[in-house]
Amino acid sequence: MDIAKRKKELVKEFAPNIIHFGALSKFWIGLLLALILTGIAAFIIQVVKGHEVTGMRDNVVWGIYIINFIFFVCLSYSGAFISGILHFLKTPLKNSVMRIVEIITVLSLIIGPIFILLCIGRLDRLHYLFIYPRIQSPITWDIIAILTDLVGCFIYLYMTFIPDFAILRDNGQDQPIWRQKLYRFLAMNYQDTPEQRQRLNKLIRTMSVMIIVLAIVAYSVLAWIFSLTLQPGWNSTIFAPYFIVAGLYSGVGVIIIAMFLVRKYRKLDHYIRKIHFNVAGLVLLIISLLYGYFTFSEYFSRWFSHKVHDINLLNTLFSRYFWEFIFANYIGVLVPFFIIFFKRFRTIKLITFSSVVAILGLWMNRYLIVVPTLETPYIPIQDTRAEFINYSATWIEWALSLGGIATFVLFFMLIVKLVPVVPMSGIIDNERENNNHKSANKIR
Amino acid sequence: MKLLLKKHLVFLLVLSGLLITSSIKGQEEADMSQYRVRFGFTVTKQPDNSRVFKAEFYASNRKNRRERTPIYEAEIQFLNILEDQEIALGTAKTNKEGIAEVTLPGNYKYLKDAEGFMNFRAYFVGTDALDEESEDLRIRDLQFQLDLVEVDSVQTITVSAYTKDSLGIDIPVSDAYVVLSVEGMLSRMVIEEDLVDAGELQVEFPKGLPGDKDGNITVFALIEDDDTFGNVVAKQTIDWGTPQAQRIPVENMLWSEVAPFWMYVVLTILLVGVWANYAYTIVNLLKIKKDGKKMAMESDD
Repeated sequence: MDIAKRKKELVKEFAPNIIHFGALSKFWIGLLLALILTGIAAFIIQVVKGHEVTGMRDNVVWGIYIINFIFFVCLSYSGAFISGILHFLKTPLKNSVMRIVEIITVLSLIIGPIFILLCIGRLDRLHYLFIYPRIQSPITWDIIAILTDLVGCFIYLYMTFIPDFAILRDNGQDQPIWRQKLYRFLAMNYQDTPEQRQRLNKLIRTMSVMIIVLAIVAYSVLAWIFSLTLQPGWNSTIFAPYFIVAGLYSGVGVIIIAMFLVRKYRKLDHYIRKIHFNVAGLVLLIISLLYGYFTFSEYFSRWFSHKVHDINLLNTLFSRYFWEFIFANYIGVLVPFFIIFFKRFRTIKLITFSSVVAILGLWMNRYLIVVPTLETPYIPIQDTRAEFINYSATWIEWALSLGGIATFVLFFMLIVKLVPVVPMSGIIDNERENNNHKSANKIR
Repeated sequence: MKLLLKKHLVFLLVLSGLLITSSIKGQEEADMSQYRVRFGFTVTKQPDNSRVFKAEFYASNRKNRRERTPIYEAEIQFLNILEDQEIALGTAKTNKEGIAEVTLPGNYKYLKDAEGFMNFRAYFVGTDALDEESEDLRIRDLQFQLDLVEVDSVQTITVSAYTKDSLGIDIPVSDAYVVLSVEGMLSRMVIEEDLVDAGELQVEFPKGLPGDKDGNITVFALIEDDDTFGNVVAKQTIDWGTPQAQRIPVENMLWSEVAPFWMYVVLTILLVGVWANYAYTIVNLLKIKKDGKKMAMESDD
């Protein structure tokens, strides 16, 4: 196999996807920028007027910002977890989804923490968290975990990009000068020699183990922010594993949706095939069972113990939040399960649809973990205004949430304009391995 | 391409429609017909003889009376009235709790009628959305005193209440209901409630109440919502409480300033392990870069 020639072919194949911006891409970029600008305007209003413009008040001090924070951070941890696991699997199938997973991991870890900053009423005191950290506080643990994980994920993502940067550097003579310079800088003189390849693979494998461990630690720390308090609905011993399973559920769901969109709009049908959706769908099916089991176990033990405050919370969930509860914990689990369980429904579109349902259900599940608990505190709320007791998100919060999602999508689009969404180095590695096998068989 | 763009636009319209609907539902404005406007007015004579004129303006839900929505930024005028004379005592706007307050010093001279009563009014002029509101109070000035003395070695709280007639002679008050309490961390703790008889009320101070580190404790005597006197407060501080020993700070606890030792150990091991791996990775990446540079130079040669 002539590797240099093959690299050239791959660059030629992926170049249109990287360099050209079609009308559709421009339309979406414009729309996403509009959403981001609306979010920035909402942020300025929030900074100037304070949290008064949000639905958060004395009792319900957390709203959809923290839910978005948990959603994105869990998405990142699950991406890191899945990516780490994929590196140890010896299947050529993994190559087509690896980069999608890695990009989702890093982007969500950048977007997620921004939402926690929006929860802070006095942003001018943010630096106090670093000047006066309290080692006993789960919030401090979370800050350390997120920062450490972010650095780790960046290094990991960069290392997986290096071989492709090198291919683009060596074969991108037709590209604009700035791109050539950028690839030269980012490729770090990588020449794809056996020694360099071996060293890089060893580093990536070590880092894979590291980020799996880090993801588990960071997931647990995030869950402990809630479960180490005595609040009804939060004080639970299974919250850490529950968060891990829930995070993986949303992670697999987002990966399936990203695969669907990339396949459709990048015309990569021959790289991202039905088998990828089937495998990812089956993983989603298994996780939906685990997630459903944890959810049932969590609520059943609360109901059975019949502690006054837990029962008050359950009453709130089954009255004011009845339909939300049904959607989060029944539809969000059972619809994906039944779609993927029956082979005849296992089409690409239906698997993607089940992922959308799973993600929306999971987001709602987080809403039900945060808001109803804060609305039913230990000390009864008396003689106060309705909006102090019951939370309702304002347009500012929705605008900032949509702005966050738009930033995530926009960055994803821009990163896949920098490197191919399917790693070219992975394709070459697979082909090289196949050739080695064939040669070995011939010799035999 | 056009068809694709149209499809995207339809999708966006549906999505924004859903979002706007949910947002409107969440921020639905309250239907005013479900609310009843309430306007309350109290006058409180403070321990330093100053008077606090307080109006409370809010709307209460007809179905759920616990639900109160304050009316804020409403301008309330406080007046002292005697027949045709209306003396403006002050004006205040209601705050976000729906409360407007004006405080006048103890030496302020109020207009009194022939029976020695002072007539006060809180008045809201009204707006397009809200009707005019007013509330009157007719109260007498009460000389209310709290004494804390030991009577035959018994720590005794003595409350005296009297009014003055036009000649300045003290007239003892009877049947005014007094609540005695001590100041606590979160609120006042009631220790006795009784009627004043012939201008006096004597109560034994309970033993064992916690004071500050020197045993100081603040005692309050309060007449509240009295038809004749309104609200009157008197207070005294005395060292009759049990001194609270200073707490010795604990160390290496979850709630102490310094965390448990094992936390530092675990955190250090975790962080050093992870960051050392990052450093190792970066060093190796730089080696890859160096090797690549060397190779590139060799191939150039």
